[in-house]
Amino acid sequence: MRAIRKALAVLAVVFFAAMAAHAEEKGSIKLTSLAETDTIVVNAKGEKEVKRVEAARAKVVPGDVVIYTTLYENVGKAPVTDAVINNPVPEHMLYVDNSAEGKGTRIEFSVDGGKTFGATNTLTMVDVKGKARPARPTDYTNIRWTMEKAIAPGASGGVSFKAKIE
Amino acid sequence: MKTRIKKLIVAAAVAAAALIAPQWANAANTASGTTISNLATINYKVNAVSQPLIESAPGGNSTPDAGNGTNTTFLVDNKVDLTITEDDAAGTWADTYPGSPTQWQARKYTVTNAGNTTQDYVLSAYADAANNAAFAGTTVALYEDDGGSAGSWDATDTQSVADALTGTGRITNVTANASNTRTIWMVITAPIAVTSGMTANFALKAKTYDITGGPETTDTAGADNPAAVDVVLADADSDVGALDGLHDGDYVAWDDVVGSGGSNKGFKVKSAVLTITKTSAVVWDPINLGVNPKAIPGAIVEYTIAIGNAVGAVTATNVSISDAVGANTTFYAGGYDAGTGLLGIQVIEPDATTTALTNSNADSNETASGIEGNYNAGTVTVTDMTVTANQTATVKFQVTIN
Repeated sequence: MRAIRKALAVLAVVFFAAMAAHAEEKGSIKLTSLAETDTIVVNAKGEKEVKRVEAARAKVVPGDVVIYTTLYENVGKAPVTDAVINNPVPEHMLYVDNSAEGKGTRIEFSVDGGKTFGATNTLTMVDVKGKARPARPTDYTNIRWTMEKAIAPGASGGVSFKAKIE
Repeated sequence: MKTRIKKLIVAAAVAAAALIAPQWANAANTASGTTISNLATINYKVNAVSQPLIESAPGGNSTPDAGNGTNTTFLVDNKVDLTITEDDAAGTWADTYPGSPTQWQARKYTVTNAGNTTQDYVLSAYADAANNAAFAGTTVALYEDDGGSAGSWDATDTQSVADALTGTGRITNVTANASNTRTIWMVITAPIAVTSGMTANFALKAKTYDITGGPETTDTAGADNPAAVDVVLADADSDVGALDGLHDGDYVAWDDVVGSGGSNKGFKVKSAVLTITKTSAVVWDPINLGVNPKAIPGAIVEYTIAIGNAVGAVTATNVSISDAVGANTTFYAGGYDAGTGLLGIQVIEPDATTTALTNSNADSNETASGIEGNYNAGTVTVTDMTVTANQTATVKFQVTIN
């Protein structure tokens, strides 16, 4: 009896694994990450204007600000719910205060590499003397956007933040 | 298994880096050539069932599970930035001596690579237009401190250029690390024409060059090359004049303000400040003898020449005077009778030793300390006197009125 139960459990695992394998082919969300920077260019009229270009195709040096945008699109046939986008602040970069945006999302931050998240005023760091202090924006290691509403099939949107190159 | 171990090691290294990072995070610029990667992930549910996470890609990704996304990356370019600070405080002067190649004092500059790439710097110097014209022809030597006898210019420091006004020096492999600055010493050799108390002002300029003997580092024109480290000149305009501009890879530091000629610091000439006075007195005449003698034919007149050096001045060596005996008078060789082989010249040395010159041989009439006096063809000369600050050397000789 016990053996049968075990066998059933194994079968179930195999079944779910097969489901997962099927899902691997295509998910319901297409996720795109853009790294861009604002550069000042002179237009045909000789006026200076700000142009947003891919960071990879711009001259970027320490001190420059990069705008990270994550685009999502429901490419499936069913509505997507409880979507959570997580973006670590890249290495060599510091989060720019108040720069995270995302319409219809709850934005939270982490200072421990994404283990725990919280609102900006709830995060603390431990200073060199072992005393707790409020976390600064430059301490943030991860940003998390939690969608408040379902994403309908075909619907898309984006969230973004800015970070400065150290 | 191997990959897992590798992964663990990488994870450990990342964790270690994260621990170390805050200590230098604000000091160091991210090095050029660093690739900065970003990967976002999304977790979601469909029909209330959690789905495998999806990672981002620059062009979009919808294949679930970790490892199927692609980092969005860019390359950090070369930010060229540098500063030169002059470390001597206002009101401090480096002594310089007229024409002297040996008794220099140096002024100290610190060159800092404030960018994110190791660079060479080519150094040159400029004279302030407001400098006294007597400084024209000054040479400005630059030395790179070798770290020996910290904070002072010494013999082991390497000369970068003998004259930075006409040539250039080069300091190499200056890393973009605030703790690895270079100390440059500036020393000048002013022409002989400068006089004590004159001040002069020189600028030190550094121009950014590629390392290993490479060419001048220039701004990469046109669009970014995604695969290459491009150059962005990001240095400040360090002067009010035309020597340096914004974003040109150059930096200029003055001892003082441009156009001041050294109003409150820089180089100051320290020299001997000699004054010479000549007085005469009748000491004897054939009628009154030594009592109220008058200047009549046959009378003896004594000339006193005083050579003084000012308070705080540099010791004057090899001081010489010459004086032609006037018309209608005759040099009186018997004026002073100390020593042997009498000669009519007396020297009162600065230490108040009174010495008649001895005639030890035909052309060397010397005091014990080496002062030499001669009378030849109507001219009295005294050479090799040394006059220290706030002292006076006195030469006396006598003539008779014809």
